[in-house]
Amino acid sequence: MRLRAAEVVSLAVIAFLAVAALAPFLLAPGDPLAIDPLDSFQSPSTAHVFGTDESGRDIFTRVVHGTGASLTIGLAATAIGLGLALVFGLLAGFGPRWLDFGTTRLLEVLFAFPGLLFALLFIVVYGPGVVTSTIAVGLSTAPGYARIIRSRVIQVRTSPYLEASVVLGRSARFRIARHVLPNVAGSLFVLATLGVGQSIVWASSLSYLGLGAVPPAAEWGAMLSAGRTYISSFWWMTFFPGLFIVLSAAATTVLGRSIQQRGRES
Amino acid sequence: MTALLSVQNLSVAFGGSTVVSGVSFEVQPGECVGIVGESGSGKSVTARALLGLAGPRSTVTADELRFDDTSIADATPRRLRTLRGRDIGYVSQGALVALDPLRTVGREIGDSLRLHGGLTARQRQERVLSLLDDVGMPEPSLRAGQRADQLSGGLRQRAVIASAIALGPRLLIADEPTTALDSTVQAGILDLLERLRSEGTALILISHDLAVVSRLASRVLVMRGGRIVETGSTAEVLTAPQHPYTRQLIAAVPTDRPRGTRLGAPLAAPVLRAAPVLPATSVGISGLAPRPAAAPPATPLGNSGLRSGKGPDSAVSTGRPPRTPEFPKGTAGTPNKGLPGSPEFPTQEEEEEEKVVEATGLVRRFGDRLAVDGVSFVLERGRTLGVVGESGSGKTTVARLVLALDRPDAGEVRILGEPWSAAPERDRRDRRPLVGAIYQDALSSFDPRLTVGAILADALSGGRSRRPDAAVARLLGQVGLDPSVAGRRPRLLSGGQQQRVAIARAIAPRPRVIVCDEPVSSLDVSVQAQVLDLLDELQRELGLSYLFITHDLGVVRHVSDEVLVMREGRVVERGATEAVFTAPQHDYTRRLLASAPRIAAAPPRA
Repeated sequence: MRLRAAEVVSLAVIAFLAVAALAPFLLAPGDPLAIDPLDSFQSPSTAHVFGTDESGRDIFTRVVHGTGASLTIGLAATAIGLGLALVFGLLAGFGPRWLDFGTTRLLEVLFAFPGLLFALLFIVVYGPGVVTSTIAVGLSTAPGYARIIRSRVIQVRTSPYLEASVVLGRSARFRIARHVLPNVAGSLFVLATLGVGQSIVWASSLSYLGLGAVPPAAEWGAMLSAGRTYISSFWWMTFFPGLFIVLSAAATTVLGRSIQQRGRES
Repeated sequence: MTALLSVQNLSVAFGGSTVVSGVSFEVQPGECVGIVGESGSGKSVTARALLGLAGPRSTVTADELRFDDTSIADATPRRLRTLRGRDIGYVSQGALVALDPLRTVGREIGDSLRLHGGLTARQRQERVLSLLDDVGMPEPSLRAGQRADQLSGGLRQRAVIASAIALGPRLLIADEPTTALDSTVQAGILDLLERLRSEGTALILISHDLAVVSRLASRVLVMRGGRIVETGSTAEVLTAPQHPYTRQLIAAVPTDRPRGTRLGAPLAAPVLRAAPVLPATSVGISGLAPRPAAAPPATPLGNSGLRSGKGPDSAVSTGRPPRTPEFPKGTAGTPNKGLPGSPEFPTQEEEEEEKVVEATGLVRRFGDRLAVDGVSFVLERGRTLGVVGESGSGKTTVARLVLALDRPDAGEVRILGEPWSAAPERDRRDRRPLVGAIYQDALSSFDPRLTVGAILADALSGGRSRRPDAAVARLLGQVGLDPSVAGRRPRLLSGGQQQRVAIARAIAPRPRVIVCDEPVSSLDVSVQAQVLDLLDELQRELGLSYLFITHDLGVVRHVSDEVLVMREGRVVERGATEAVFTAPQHDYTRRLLASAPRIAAAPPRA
């Protein structure tokens, strides 16, 4: 199979992010929290490729070390969203008609709220922090996934091959485990890759608002927030964390789309 | 008189592959030319090339491609558009979905009048109604206001034809106009086309069905692999085919071919005998497989030992022994004997009167409608019960009841004498392997993630394994497929191969009966013949019973020992197949039989 240029670039970005998340010291050996007041507000140079912030911390080091936090929030939130969605989707798809009716109406009510508003509501109730913001993002993305999964479950459940499986004398458990879940898993995977990017953006937005990771923690959204005060004089403080948010979201989305397309073509 | 359409040396290529090459023919005004061939033979591409619709990625070359005095090859897109609307009408394949679901039939037809006609709205409205009336649409003013999904298949097809002839084209190209329609509806559409032709419209009729083409066409082109392999007057081609492929096509038509004859005739063998005994006017396909003046004696119902005998046209059978009254005991040699869940085969004595499926007084209601209304039948071991009827007659519901995919509101299905439809699913599950199923659309009955090998391993092992092994290879051999197919995915196989895989899966758990729901309806005639032959072989080898559901009378006659004719949920006639076909008692059966397309050796009267 031939890769398009956009796919190659996305894969490279994701590989870089993966290394940054798993072994940040390979890319940036310094301490992301080490302050050096004499070195504050340095513009990008060979000593500090992304410049330094108001306390003289190296922004490249902070961005690299922040990858883990941002990606974890993104992945965890997506996992929470998809997990919830799978439960709802299976209940609605396989349960009795009243249950399907109930879950579908509930999802429609949740849909009425903009996702981020829903996340804010959750944080207002449970207090800010990395964990709550992750859960909040996960919760607010779940209804969208649940709808897609429900329709996919119903599509598989009513398919002729499931009927063929009934005729062969397979139990309901066998049919769900061996036919429905594997066939739904394909679409789940695509949803997940598309969702990670979105979750990263959302989690960063929450941190930016001061509701997620809090300074001085190296997290992209929090760094954006800190740099906001100086945006007119020291552009690099917001530009580089922002660049990474955009890059990671774009790379996962491009990859998700191309997986989706290839799935459709084959 | 110059030809209306003249095609010389037409070739069409997509990218590097040539799909049509060296096709030449002419159509005279008011003439009907048939193009016959299987799917992939290039017949539809030829038709689309004539309309300049071969597509942007195609390369069309021709020495001459001329309609009247316009060269289609050189025409501007603008000229082509007027040509298509005004001069050449086109009824595309899949006309059932050719209507916009959101627009009324009247608007759909009115559009071509609006674009090409220059009539006032009121005149258009009147013209639409008269067109609908012309194509035999009942209650035209009501229908004009309806959308496609409110019309039956036959009415939709009439609407599509009405829009194709709206501007009075001199040539009408109809691509598979009756495929997917019930036989009585099909007859109506063919009558309509015949009338248009007799009123002076030239017609190019494209079909895989020789019988359909032979009814209308005065000349036939037989296409295969993008080339014309034979051409001539319909009578010549049908009675004295020169090319082996044409012979094969003719031999494959199951209509009027009695039970027990092989359809897939070998290429070399002369399939035809001269048909001197038959009157020249309406020879029927019997001209190809002559029946004696008197039909073979009908087998009385319930006489399980006897078959309706070998057919009189044993010239076509390929030297296999004629059907014996007793079943061979060869079942012991089948590969998956002794699998858990498969019952021991009964002894010879028990076989005699064994009722595999027994349905009594089945009723199934959907809302106010009785889909099945008091249907009873008995299917004995090793026999085939055909169920015929048009769509909506309840035959598929009967199949679902027998498969216990649906519960009857009254009545009962018993399998091997034990309760089936009345048993709870948990008790039935262990006995499910007794009843197999094959469907019209084999592909959609396979889990798309699985390879052929995994599908069959799953069926053989009762769901315990999906690793193909030697038993899978044997099973593939049994249905005439190469063991290498195991590694492939069903969607990459041809329609016939897919149906073979479905059959392999159905026989894997060693069922006693297989419910076949339109198993060959979407296959080309020659492939259909092979699949029917395979089913027949397996029946003899494995002692299977078939409940064979189809709307195709030719197929049902070929495969069934007994037949049920269904209409609106009721059985209107039943009996031994030959008896029903040669001396139908009920009016509806007679109508159904009369409407079945046959290959008419006599040229249509102009």
